Amino acid sequence: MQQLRIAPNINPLNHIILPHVEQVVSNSGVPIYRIIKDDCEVVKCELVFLAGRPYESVALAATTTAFMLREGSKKLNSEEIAEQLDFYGATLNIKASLDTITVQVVCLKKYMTAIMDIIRQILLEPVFPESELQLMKDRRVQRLKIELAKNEVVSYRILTESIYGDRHPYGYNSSELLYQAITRQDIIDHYERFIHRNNCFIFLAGDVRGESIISSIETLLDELPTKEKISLDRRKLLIDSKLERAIKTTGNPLQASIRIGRKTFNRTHEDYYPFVFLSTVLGGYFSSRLTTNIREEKGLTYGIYSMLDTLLYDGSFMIATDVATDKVGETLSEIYKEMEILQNDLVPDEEMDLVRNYLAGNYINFFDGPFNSIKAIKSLVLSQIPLSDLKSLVDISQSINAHQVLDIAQKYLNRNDFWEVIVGASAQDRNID
Amino acid sequence: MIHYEKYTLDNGLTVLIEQDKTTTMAAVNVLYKVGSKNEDPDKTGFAHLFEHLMFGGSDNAPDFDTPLQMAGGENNAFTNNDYTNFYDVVPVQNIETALWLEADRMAHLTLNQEALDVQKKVVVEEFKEVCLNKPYGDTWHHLSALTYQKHHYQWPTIGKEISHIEKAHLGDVADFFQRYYHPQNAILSISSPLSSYEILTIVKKYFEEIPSHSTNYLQSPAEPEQRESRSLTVTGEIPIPMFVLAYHMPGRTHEEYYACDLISDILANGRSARLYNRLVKEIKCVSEIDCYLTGSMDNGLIIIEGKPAENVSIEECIQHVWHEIQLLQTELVDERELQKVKNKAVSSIAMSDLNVLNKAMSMAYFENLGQIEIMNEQEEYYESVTPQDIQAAAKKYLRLENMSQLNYLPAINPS
Repeated sequence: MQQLRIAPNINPLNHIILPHVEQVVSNSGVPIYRIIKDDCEVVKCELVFLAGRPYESVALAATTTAFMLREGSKKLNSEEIAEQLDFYGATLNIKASLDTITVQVVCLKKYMTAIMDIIRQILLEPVFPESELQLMKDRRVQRLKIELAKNEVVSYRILTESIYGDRHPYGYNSSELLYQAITRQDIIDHYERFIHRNNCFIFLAGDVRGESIISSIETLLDELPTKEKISLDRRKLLIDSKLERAIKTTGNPLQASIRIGRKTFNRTHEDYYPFVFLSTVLGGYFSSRLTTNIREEKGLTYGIYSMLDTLLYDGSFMIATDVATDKVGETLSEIYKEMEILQNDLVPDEEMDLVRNYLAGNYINFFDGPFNSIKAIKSLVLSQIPLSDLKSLVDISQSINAHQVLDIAQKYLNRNDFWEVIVGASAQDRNID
Repeated sequence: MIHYEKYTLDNGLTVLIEQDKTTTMAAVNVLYKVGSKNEDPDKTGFAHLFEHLMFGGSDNAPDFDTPLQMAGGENNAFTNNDYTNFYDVVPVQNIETALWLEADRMAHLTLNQEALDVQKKVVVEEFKEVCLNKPYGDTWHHLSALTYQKHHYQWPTIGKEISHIEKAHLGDVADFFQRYYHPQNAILSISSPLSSYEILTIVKKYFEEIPSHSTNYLQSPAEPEQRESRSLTVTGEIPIPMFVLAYHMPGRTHEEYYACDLISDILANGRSARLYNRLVKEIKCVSEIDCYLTGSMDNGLIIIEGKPAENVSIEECIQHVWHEIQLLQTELVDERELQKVKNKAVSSIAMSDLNVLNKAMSMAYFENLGQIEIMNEQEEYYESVTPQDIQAAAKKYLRLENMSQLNYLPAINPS
């Protein structure tokens, strides 16, 4: 097997084909971004409203509004809406992320105009029936009970609440009390303030050039009301929280969930790209330092990762793993050791190349096909990054050097800036100093 | 529709190639025809443990991940009852690296005690994280043992118990590699913008000389017909009760699979499905309800699982489930409802065919069933199901004597 002895040459990945994004404005003034692929049977349409948590007057208004939109319109009740969407084999997702409410549909091209007509009724004439609201609350509370029985969920909730504070839009957690408190009027208010034409973006992918598709979208947009855009009350985004170590002991002591993290910044920050690079080196891919040390060398965990989570107005950085309860102390000291090494030593050239190539592969994948590409485009548009910067963004991430990574590590990886959350270990068995 | 070409190398390796000129990525998928059903009942979890060891490096590539990441690629793997599947997604200019790595670990995987010891620990933590430390995480441990008495589907892929993983020996590992990991027992599938000629040239370069071994595989006994209903109640640290009903049905290639799949869609696929409409929205007796098929190669299961709403008993929920089952058995489903579930099935096939990795996996999956030609006939099979077929399958399989019931109850009553 002579051929196997020689590894094939690795070809450079500097040729990243960027998607062709058509940017148009609807007759009614709504920006539309579309990536066209001819002869594609499936189409995707997403309407995005800036209507997430930072805009809420009442906690959980965004997520409950998103959920309730499809639960009945003037002409179609909840069951009829569901039956028609299912009949066309369409997948309709209406959900609130932390920053937005998105209405996303994926369906066969031939049914797109029929689906847009249903979406029009959902968005323009929702009735938010009281009975559906009560049912939703009951079901959400039941689901929350299950979620709260998972260490990983509890530890994530404690960490984000610690980083941002429990009254911050990105920091507060859902609870039975909050669900019970929300009223139909709160939902109507949120809907009326934020679901309108001047607060909307549209993203399309697939073979979406057909006249009937365009005109069904135009019809919907024409009918969406025009309203004054409500400016954000930025005082809500101030952070007032003090650092400490949060440890919660739960009933099931087989394994402890470790989450450590800190506040960072949003995507427009100048440190964003070098930080993404640093996070990849530390815990962002399979050959990362944390995975190599803690999983592949010591076998302490099934998985460990680090993640930079950027939102429209802020962001956080987190390292997460689940380990045997008596290995919590050892794991924590290994994590901090790896952070320190990145603050003291330059990342070797070979590893820099590896991460550069890994990230280049990621970019190529992000921009492979219309459905992947539109997701990447959406995230840039919402962060108000001009699409003309696309090429330079790819270049920036490829030109980051080891000194920049060291600088970012020194700036952001100081142990004292991190919250430390441990859920599932009791006082004796966690072996922490 | 996936336009593929199929080749068999002299050493028995099946190669499936699809060309998609619109992509810049390549997906390389290697399926080994070994799953947890091929395990010894005293050494369960072995197929999955072995999957982990496949990342430990091989003779010419001491580290599997580094060259692939250097090539801009990503990879992963999964194991189920029936097979073990490895996949790599890489920018097409570096597809050769992925094929070389897959060939080298098929030819000479490095097996050593140290790597085995580390991966045993990793899998034990996985066992704890996925099965023991989550509410209802051990559902499949209980359900597999309840529903299968002879067939090796009676334990889940992760293994029956942690001790089986802890006592795995290097000798067993070497035997397992010898027995199952060779060209004759593998399917290589590739979806990329390159022509089949270009792909086949690279494939031959690296795979052609890898020898195949004997085909003495451990086979599972067949599951005898279930003749009376079974039930099991588990109490544990769970927040709210849960019930699971499981009914035996034929394997994936049986003609009635499609009627059973549409039954599960009529009952629980989408917000207009019957169980959701009746039990969640009208009667409000459950907070969650689902119905799905295990879809295994041998005798599979139709699963209905639900969580009662607050202060509703499991028995009451099950009465309502039975009522819906009886409706399927006594009244023909109307044309619009049947067309609805068919439309959903057809559009979900169209959506999954958009991505190189899905397509490469699909080719390997259907080839492993022994019938790759049915891959592109799925729509027709679904379309040809009649209301009478639905009724007949409901009568034949959704019977009390063919059912196993698993109840989960909280150990401490919250009230």
